[in-house]
Amino acid sequence: MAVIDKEPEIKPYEPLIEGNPSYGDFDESIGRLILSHAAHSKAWLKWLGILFMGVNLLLLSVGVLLWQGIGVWGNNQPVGWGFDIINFVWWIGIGHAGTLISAVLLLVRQQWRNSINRFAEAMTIFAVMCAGMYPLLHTGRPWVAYWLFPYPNILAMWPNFRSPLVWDVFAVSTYMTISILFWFMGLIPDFATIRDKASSMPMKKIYGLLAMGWRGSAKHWHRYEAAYIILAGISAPLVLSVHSIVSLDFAVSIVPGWNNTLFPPYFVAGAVFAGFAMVLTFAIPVRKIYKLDHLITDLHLDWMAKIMLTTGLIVFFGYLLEVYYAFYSGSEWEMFMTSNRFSGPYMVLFWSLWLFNGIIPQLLWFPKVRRNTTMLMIISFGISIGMWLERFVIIPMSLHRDFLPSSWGMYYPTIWDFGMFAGTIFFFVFMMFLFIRFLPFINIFEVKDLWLKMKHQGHVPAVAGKGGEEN
Amino acid sequence: MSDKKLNKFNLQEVRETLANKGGQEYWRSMDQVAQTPEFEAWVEDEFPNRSSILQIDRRDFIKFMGASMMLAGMAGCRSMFLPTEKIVPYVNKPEDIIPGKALRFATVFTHNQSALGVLVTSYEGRPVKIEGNPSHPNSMGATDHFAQATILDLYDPDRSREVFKKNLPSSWDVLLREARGAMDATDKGKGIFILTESVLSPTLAAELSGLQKAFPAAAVVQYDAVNQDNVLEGSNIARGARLHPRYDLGGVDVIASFDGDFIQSMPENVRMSREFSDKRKTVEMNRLYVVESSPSLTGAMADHRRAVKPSQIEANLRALAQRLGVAGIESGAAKVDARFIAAMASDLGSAAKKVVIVGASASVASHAIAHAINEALSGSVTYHAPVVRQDASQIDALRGLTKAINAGQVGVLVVLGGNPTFDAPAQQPLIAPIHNTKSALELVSSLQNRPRSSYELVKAKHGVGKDTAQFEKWLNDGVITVAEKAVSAPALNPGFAASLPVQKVSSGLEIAFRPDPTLWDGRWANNGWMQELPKPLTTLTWDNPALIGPKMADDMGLSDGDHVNITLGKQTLRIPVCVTVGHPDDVVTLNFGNGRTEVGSVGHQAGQNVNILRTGLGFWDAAGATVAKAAGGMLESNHTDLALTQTHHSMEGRDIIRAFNRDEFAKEGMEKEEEGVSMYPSQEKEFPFDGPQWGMSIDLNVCTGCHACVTACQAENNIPVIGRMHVLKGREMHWMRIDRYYTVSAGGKQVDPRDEIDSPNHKQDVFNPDAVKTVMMPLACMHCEIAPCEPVCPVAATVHSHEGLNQMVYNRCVGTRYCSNNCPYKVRRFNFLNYTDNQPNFMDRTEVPYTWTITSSEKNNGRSLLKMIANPNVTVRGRGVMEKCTYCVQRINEARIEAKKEQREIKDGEVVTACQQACPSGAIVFGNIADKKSAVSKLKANKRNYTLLGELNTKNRTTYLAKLRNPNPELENA
Repeated sequence: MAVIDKEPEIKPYEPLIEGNPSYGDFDESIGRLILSHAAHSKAWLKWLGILFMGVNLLLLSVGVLLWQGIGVWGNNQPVGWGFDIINFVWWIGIGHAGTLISAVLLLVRQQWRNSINRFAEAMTIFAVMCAGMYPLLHTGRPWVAYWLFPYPNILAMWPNFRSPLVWDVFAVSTYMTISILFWFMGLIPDFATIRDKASSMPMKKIYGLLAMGWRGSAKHWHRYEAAYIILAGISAPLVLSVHSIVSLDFAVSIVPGWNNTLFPPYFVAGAVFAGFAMVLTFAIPVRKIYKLDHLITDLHLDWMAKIMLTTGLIVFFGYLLEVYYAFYSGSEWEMFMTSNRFSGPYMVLFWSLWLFNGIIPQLLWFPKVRRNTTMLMIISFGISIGMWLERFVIIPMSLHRDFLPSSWGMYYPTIWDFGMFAGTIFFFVFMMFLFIRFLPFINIFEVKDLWLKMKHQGHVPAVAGKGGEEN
Repeated sequence: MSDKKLNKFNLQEVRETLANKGGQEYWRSMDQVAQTPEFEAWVEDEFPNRSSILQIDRRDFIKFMGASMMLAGMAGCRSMFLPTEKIVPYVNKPEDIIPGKALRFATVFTHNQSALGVLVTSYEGRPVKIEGNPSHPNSMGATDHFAQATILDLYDPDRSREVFKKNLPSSWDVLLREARGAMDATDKGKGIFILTESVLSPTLAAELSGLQKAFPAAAVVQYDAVNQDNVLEGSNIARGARLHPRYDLGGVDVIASFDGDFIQSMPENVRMSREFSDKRKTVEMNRLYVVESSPSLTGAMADHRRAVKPSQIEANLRALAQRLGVAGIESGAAKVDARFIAAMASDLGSAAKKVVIVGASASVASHAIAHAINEALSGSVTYHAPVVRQDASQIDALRGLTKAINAGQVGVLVVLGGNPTFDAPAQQPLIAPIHNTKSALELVSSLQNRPRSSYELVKAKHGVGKDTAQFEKWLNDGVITVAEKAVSAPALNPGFAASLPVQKVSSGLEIAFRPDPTLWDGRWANNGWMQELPKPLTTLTWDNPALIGPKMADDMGLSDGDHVNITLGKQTLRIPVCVTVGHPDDVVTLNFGNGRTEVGSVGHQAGQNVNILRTGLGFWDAAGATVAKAAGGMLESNHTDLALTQTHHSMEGRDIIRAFNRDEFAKEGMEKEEEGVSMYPSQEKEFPFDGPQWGMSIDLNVCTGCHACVTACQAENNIPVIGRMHVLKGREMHWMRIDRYYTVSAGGKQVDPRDEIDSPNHKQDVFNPDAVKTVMMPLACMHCEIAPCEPVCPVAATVHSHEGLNQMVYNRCVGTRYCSNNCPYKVRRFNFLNYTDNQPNFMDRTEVPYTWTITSSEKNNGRSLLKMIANPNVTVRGRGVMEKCTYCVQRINEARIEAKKEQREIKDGEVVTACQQACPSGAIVFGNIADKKSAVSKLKANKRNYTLLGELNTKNRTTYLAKLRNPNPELENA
């Protein structure tokens, strides 16, 4: 154990934590990032400043939108939904990796999740924040968007429960709530660690408050474990339900290219696919900059790449099935929609989608590629683009040519579409920067726990492919 | 009051000082007077120029009392003199005016040298809608789009509101005094010219002749950019009299039209459309042959159409005349399709009732020949004289005026409407038009020193010596019920063929000048509805590119919006092109009417002024032009995006518009619609059916695509204008649209709408303008019983009424646009911006019309003026709200209220939607489909009835009647 093996072929028992750290080392390597600003390069502040300007771009774009109306965007007749819903679905999808890693992998006792789960959960929350902006702001009259919530009112007027948009409201708000709770609960023991290690009074106060009186007693741990598993149990179905419901926005409709029973599983797979791509896009630079490759090891990258490959294959299978069903259905609308994807005015985007999501990820079959951070970065970045294109292909490309050729039109996003999209990306990265600075972005106590198990129970339970501690 | 002795303020003196001053001078003098201490003292003194009330004697006292009491009564007439700005209830309600209750007034809309009887709907003295007058023979209850849109002109923000003298506000008194002075100074009126559009009002004609009696040397010059010069001159050659033909299409079996666009651009087009479609609706139908030099709606309706160059029209008529055995007609100078002419001739010869129609743009000889042909065929045409004699052609009269101006012989020029500086043939001098807010009638009368109101004048003309009650009835109905004196046209001059003008021969490219389909000669260039109304054949808005055929475009490598330089003589015009399927080769159509430089805020910068090429020599068409692709540069783009509302022209083989040949349909009929399969039990309805069930039937067989319904809907339902920028983005707001598709009849086989126009296989057919068929489909909300828009709305803002209306609840709508995405017909419209309130911005061509654009007070005034046109029974929609056709629910409710008051059911035909009301061809029928005896139910039982996209099983309440064509078997089978 604890052998640093840099050879490319995967040894059967490869450690999830490299080196031979003490428990204090974990506190140090993660905690110092919060407690001491010196741990961050000057570049952090510079970048934060740039990102803050980007956040202002978001505020400006939203301000213009609110002042003028949806007309500042490129949406039109027949394309009622453009960047707004593309970006909504894209961001929601990105969040999914976090939930999958923290909840599903916890339940199936995949301990390798421990060093990436916190990070992924944060991404979930920030991604859902970005996503949540869109359904609210894409309405023509955002000041009355609260009518989508079932609240008691004097008119006894309920939302229309038949509408998938109402289901979206429930799905996304549940998702947001559970994700925040889960994330915060997981943070409590680490808040206590930071509180204990903090030297300055404000830090002690703030983290003390956040730790909610955590003392680390056996009783605390017992209750914590139980509650955490329950929350994981609640959020695991959300991985499936949220994006299924989002996909129903399309599947329930009559639009060729939307009306497709394949959508729920294919959207879920796509979400996980996109989510892992985004986790990798962030994890690779962060582990390099903060020298955390003993915690986020090549093995982690390898396994995440494998999940990406698997879900990518599901998604690509979905693409092929869409084409097959279009022709199998015999419906002239479906067939036309498919040929319009192949050779219509937006064909470049369609074929790029197949390239980024279908072809390039096949490189992940090669172990060398899965452990090459540069290649992984490129592939993950490509997948993020590809998943965005997938939503473009589904949403505007289905709408722009539907039943009556007289109504066909083109959709061109405007500067404010791009402004708001770029703004949400800046906001997301900005939040991640703050997160890395002020919160323990690797789960300290779970890593310690993993380390303990590795040390005292032999390395068997804590390695790849061998399941949980029961083994 | 100060003790200082002041001179008495003498009002009489001041009046005299001011009397002969106008404009700046007047106000300056006024200031001088107002600043004197005498004046101030006079104003402050309760009893001016008197030291005490006791100085008033008894008689003056009684006078003051009387005057005071009378003036107190005058207060009630405030609105006669001052703008009423506050909304206050009537204290003494004027008779007939019930707030919220519309009044309809009959009047006449004169356009294109014909009069259309209309009813103007007015709320509290505010006219908001124009509808056809059912008892007027030219309207029969319908209108065209021009008549519908003209109500907006009343609220034109750029309307002249004052009398101007040299750009300064003046007064009618000054104007009339000076004009009369100048007129009196002439020698019996020598040098007085009155320039007017063609006079259609008998009263105005009488007034003008009265004026000419007083000033015998005065000249009246009538001029219209779209005039009937060739028609009258042709008549003169054929019959020795300048007469207008009036074609009666009622019951006509075979019509042959030579550039005669009787559906849109000929006088009395509404009447002719109705007569044509009434016959078209019968089982035997009529047959329409069209030979035309520029695509028109009449050509689109044709059973057989030939696209030729403008110079070839005459040759075709000559060939027809020869075929029909008209003596003395020589062959034409151009080749004609002999088989086509032969078939047309034999068809015309054997038909019971027939007519040959020739349009105003055809040559003089064509019109003369048409007289002979119609005489030989006993064609269904009568002749009548113009209201005011036109002894010379209008162009010659205008030229005479121009010459007189250049020679300095014009002493007084009175312009009564018209804008020759824009629409006259080029190279004419500029004349500043005088805007006025008196009617032309009142002005002419005033110039004779006997000002009277229009009412008095009209009554004097028609009512003198007659029954006043009769006159009141005429006024009320808008129709004078005296039978028109039949004009027996002089006999055809037997040797007329010898005196025909020499034929024009041209081998190269020709230009056809045609009035703009929506702006006409430019008079509606500042009318937002008309600028944004899609031109029926191109679906273009806000622009007037050169129309060229697909072959020419292909040869020159041009596509929609590419610039060309058209050179004719010394003038060159740089203009974008619009590729128009069915356009003849080697012809460029230029629509005049757009591109006015002095037009107002709406038409500002819209389109190109093609009048610079319309020289006196080529009024309707011109040969010898050259067209070259324009070079683009760093600073100047050689492409302009065209704001088309429809960019795809093929039906992609889909079952959208069904068209059949009459005989084949009679034999084979149409596939019966299958009952849609539903997952729900069949008895389960989406909504409880209760009360009348509203439905609509649209007859594609008679829809000409004239767009009157679209404008009527816009007027009725307060639909905003959004401007070119937003049309380019695909956000036009019209609730009703007319889809236009092209189909190809390959090899003369039955026309099948499933042929694909874009496929390379059909390229040659598309290049052949004669092979292309145009089909039209009016489309508004289908009011599906199982409406896809309803379940997806998260806030239930679109729901079904128990009468089957798919309703939009504006104030519940949050604007997710999901309903629009899910609408298979894409008939929903979204307020992407605050279009209704941003009306002053809609003229912007390039700038983004955001609300932060600084708007001048002038534009804001325009906006408040535009607010007056809103129909008070229809909600004005704000930003972020979805809207769509309501089946004119306000009209349904009005009828329901009336029916309830009388405790009865709503009668069939009592609810007439705005589109139905305007439709000249009666293609739209609305009513209760639960009542099997209603007109709409009977139409839905017709064999031709089908549901658009029926396989989606949305159970549309609007259904269509398939289009039938009636081709000549002789031409079909060969």
